[in-house]
Amino acid sequence: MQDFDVIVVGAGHAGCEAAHAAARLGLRTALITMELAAIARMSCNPSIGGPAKGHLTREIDALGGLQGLVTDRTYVNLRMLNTGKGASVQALRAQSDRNAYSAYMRGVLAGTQNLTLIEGEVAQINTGLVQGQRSEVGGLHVGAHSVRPAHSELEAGRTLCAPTASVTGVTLTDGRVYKAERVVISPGTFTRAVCFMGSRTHRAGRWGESSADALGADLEQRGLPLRRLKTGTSPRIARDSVDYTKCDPQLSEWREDAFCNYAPSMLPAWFLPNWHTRTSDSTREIIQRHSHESALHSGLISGVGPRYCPSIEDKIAKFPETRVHPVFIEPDGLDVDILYLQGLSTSLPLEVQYMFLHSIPGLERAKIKRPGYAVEYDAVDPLDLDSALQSKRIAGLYCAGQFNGTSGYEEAAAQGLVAGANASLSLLGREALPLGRDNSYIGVLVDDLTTRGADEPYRMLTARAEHRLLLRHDNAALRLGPIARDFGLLNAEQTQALEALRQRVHAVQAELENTRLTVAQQQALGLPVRNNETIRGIEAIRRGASAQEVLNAECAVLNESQKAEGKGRLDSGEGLMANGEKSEHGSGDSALSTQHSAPAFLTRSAQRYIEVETQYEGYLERARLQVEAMREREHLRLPAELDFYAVPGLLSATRERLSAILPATLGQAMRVQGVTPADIAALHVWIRRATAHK
Amino acid sequence: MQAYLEADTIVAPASALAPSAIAVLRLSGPQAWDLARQLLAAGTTLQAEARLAQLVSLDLDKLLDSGPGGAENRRLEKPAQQPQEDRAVLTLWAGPRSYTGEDMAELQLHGSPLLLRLAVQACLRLGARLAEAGEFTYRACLAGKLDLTQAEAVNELIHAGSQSALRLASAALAGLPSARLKDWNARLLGLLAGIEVIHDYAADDLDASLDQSTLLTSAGLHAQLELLAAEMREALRQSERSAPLRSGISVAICGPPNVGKSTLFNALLGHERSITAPQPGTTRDYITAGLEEQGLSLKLVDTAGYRDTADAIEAAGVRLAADWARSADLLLWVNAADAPPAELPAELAGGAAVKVITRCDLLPHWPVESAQLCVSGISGRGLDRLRERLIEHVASLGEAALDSFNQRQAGQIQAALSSLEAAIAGLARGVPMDAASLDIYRARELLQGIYEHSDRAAVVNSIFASFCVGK
Repeated sequence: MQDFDVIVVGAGHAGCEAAHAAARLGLRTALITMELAAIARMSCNPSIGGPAKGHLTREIDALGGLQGLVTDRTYVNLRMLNTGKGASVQALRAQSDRNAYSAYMRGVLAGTQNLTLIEGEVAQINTGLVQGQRSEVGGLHVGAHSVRPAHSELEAGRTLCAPTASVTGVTLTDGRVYKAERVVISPGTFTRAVCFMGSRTHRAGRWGESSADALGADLEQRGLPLRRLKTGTSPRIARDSVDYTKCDPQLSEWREDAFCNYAPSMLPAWFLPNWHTRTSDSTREIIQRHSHESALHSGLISGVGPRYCPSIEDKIAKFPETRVHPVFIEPDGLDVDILYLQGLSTSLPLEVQYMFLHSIPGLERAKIKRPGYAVEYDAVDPLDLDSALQSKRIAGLYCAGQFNGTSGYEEAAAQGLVAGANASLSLLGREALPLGRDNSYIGVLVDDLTTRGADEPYRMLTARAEHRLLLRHDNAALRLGPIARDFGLLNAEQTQALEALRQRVHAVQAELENTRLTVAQQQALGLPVRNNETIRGIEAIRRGASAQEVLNAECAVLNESQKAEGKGRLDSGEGLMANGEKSEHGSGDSALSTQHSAPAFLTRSAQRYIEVETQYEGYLERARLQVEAMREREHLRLPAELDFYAVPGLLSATRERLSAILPATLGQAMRVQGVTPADIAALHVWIRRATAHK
Repeated sequence: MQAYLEADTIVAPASALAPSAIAVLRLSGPQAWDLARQLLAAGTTLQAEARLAQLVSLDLDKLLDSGPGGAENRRLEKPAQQPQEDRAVLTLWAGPRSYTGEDMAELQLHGSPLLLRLAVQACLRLGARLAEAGEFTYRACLAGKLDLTQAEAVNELIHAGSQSALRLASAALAGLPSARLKDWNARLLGLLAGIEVIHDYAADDLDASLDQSTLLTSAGLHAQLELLAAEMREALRQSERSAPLRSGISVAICGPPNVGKSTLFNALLGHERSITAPQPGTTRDYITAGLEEQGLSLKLVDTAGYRDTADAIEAAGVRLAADWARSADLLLWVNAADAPPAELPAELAGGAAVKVITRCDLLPHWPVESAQLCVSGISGRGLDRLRERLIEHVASLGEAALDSFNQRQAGQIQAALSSLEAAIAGLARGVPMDAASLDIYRARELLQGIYEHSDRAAVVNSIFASFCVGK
C-alpha cells in the first residue's frame, strides 16, 4: 500500500512547482521540507524575471505553475526590460517581498487539494529491483556493448544500460518511512552543503540552516554521479545605514503587465525603489589586497561557480581593467529592516566585507545584518537524466532545480514543474509533457541540461533559444496553454481564460482586418501615408501603430457615423462593406462593444500578441519554417536497443558519448557535445535503413 | 564516405597504374605500419622512429600469394630454396604528425603496375580495406589537418592545368581562402555576441557593469554588416574573375560553315584533332581540346558552322554552337577570305569576341592593315598574332587574388551575402536586432559550412567524390 503517489523532497522553487503540478494532476502528493517556514525561500536576491528568466516564469504560469502568480501578488517593484529592443527579448523583472513571497507560496500550497506538507529531513531514497523485462533488456544491452574500448573517462560512473533499481519511497532521519512509486528530489544547495566566509566554514545549506548530509551520502551510494558546485550571495545590510543621497533610485513602473497569463494583474499596495551605486577604486584595491582570504581563492572551495553570476572578488580578478562595478541596493520587503546588495556576492571574511562596503558611495556606514558567503553543494550530472528529468539509473526518481546544476529561481521552478508533471504523467501511463526547443524556454533548458550537461551552474539566456522569435512573453499562453489544458495542468478558471483569450485573438484580428483608416486618421496616428490611400487596420499595425490606437480611431469614426446615420462615414463604399462584414463575423455591432465583452486584460494580451505577430510576420514565418525544416530530424526516435558501436561512420568519441548519454531522439543526439553534423548524417542514414528493413 | 570506420586501415595505389619509374602504395590507419612490415622480407630491420625514407626488401612471395591462383602458383613454379625479394623504399609516419593524422606508411616500389596491384592486394588480404575515393584526405579533414577548402585544394592542385590554377590551388591548400572565411565568421560572431550582450545583460538601462558606449547599436551593427557585405561582394567579383583561370579559359571558334574553323582549331592545337574537309557542315558536334599558352590553360571549342538548316542533326549541332558562342569566355568569329563575310549575329554577340579571317594565304596580298585578325591555318601565318591576342585577352581578366574562391565556395558566399543583405535591409527599416539576427546567424552558418563539416553531408560527399583514390 502506497502512502502517496508522488513524494517531492525539498520545498524550494523547484519542489513547490513539482508538488503543485503532481497534485493538480490529481495524484496524492507529499512535499517534504526540512523547515515549513522556509518554503520557497529566496536564498539570494528577492528578484524574479529578466530576459529569458522572465520568459521561464511566464511559461511556468502558462503551464499552470505558481511562480508567476506568487510573484505578481508579492512584488514591490516591477519593470519591463529591453523595451527599446525586439519583442522577443522583452521581459518583466520583479522585486518581491521576500517574506511575503514565501508566505504566499505556503498559503497556496496549503490550500492545494491532494497535497500534504511534511516537515522532516529525508535521509534516503528507498528502491527496489526493477522486475522482469527491463533488467533483461539491460543485460542484453551490456552484452552488445562489450566490444567497447574501455579507456573512456566518460564511462566511469555513467549509466550505459536501463535502470536496475526503481523507487519505492523515502526514509526520514527520524525513521519515518513514506512509500511512493515516484520521488522528485529538489534539494537545492542543501545536499552535503558547506558555507564559506573567509576561513570560516560550517555545514549548512543556507547560512544557519542545516545541510542535508544523509541524503547526499545516500544518493552517492546509489551511484548518482554527483559533483561539487558552488554559488554565493551578497551581504545584507540595515535599511537605515545607507546614505540614499549618494545613490540613484530605480523606481517601479506602474504596469498592467504581469507574469500571470490567465488572471488580471493587481497593483501592489506599496512600491519600493531599488537604489543604485557603484564600487570605487578603493573597493577594488581592498578586494585585491585581501583576495587571498576569500574562500574562493584560498583553495577551500573546489566546486565550480556560476560564470553568469560571479562573486565580486572573481569579477575584480577577471576584469582588473574594469574600474567600476554596479551595486543594486534592493529592498528585502516591506516590514523588514534589510536591504540586499545585488552585485556583491562574496566569501571574503566579515572584516573585509565591512572594509570594502564602506568604500562604496552611500554605504560608508553600512551595517551588515547578514554577511555574504559562498556555499558548496552536491549536484547531479544532468546528463544522467532523461528528457523527462528522470534518473537513468533509478526508475521513478526525478531530479529538479539547482541540484541539476542550474542557478536561479526561474530555472529551478521550470524544472520542478517538468519533473513533477512528468513523474505524475508516467504514473498515469501518459507521455511526458511535449516541451521542446521549438515551443518553450523550458524545453530549451531541459534539452540543454540533458544533452549538453552543465559544467558550471547553468543560467538561461535568450541567446540559448535558437527559435526565440517564437518564444515570447506575449504568446506564452497561446503556445503552452493548450498543452497544459490537455494534460490537466490548468484549473477551470485558467481553462476558461485560455479559451476567452483565444477567442479574443480571433475577434481582435477580425476587427483589425475590417477596420479602415482614412488618410487623416493615419496622419493622426503618425503613420507614414502611402498613395493617399485608406488602409485596413491590420496594415496600420504593420506600419507600427498599436491595436488600441487603431481601434480607438475606428470607434471615434463609428460614433460620428452613427450620429450621421451611416452617411459620410467614409468616402468609399469599401468602408461600408467593412462594416457589413463585421456583423457577419459576429464580432458585435461595433468595435466598442466587442472590446468590452471579455476581461480587459485578455483583450490587451490579444492585442499585444497580434501587434507582434503582424509586425514580425515575415521573420516569424521564417522562424516557423526553420522549426519545420528541423522537425523530422528533431523528433526521429532512436531505437532503444541502438548500438552506437555498430553504426558505421561515427567518430569513436561520438560512439562513447552517445552510448553514455543515450539520447532518445536524433535531435537530442545532435546536441551532445562533440557530435559533428557528419556523425548525425551517418546516424540518420543508419536509422532510416534500420527502420526500412523492419 | 559510407564505409568509413576509424578502426579501419586503408590502402590504395597512390600513383597511376601504368608503367613508370616508381609506383607508390599508401596505407593509413592503426595497422598501417604493421601491414607494411608484413610485406617485408624476413630479417628486415626498420628504423621505426623516423619519418625517414628507408631502403627495404620486399618479400615477393607474399605479394605473389595474393595474385590469381597465388599459393598454388608458387608451389608449382618455385622450389622453396631461395626467397625472392625486391628492393623498395618505405616511409613511416607516426600519427598525429602525418597527412591523415593517423599512422601512415608509404611504399615506393619499382614502377610496375602489376607489382603495385599485387602489393595492394596483399595488404587487403592482410586486413586492410581499399580506400574510398578521397578517403585519405577525408581522414585528414576529420583529424583537423585540413579544412574543407583545403581538401578541395588538394584535388585542385592535382588537376591544375595551368600555372594560374596551380598558384590558386596551392594558396588554397595553404589556407588563404579559408582564413578569409574564418575572419568573416569571427567578425560575425563578434557582432552576434554584441547583440546577445545587449539582449541578455544590458537589459537594464541603468546597469553600469557594461560601459554603454561600448555596446552595439543598431546603426553600428548596420555599418559593420555593410562593411562585411562590401568585402564579400569584392571577393565574389575576384572569384568570378578567377573562375576561367581555374577551369581554363574557354575559347569558342564559331562562324558560317566551311570557313576553315576546324583547320584553325587544328592549327592552334598543333595536331589534327578535328576532321577537316572541303564540304560545308563537316563538323556537326562540337569538339573541345585543352591548350596551354604561356602558363595559361585554354579550352578550345570547335563548333558546327552557324546557319539555318532543315537537317535535324545539323540543327542540333548549330544550337550547341550557339550555346558555346554565348557561354565561352572568348568567341572567335571566323570568316574566310575567299567567302562573302557574315556579320556576327546579334543573338551570339554580347561577350568578348575577336573577329578572325582565315585563308588569307589565298589573297594576293596579306592584309597588313586589317582590323581583323588574318590567319592561314595552312601556312600558320598570323597564328602567333592570334595567340598573342588570346593571351592579351586573358591578361585583361587580371590575375586572380590568391584568396579568391572556387565555384562551390562562391555559391555559398553568395547565399551568405544574401542573408547579410536581408539583415542590412531589415535594420535599415527599423527591424529590431532579435529578428535581424536571424539572418546573421544564417549567414554565419552558411560561411562556416564552406570550411567545416556541415550537416549537409551531400556537400562533403560531393567534394570527396571527385578525388582520385589514393588522395
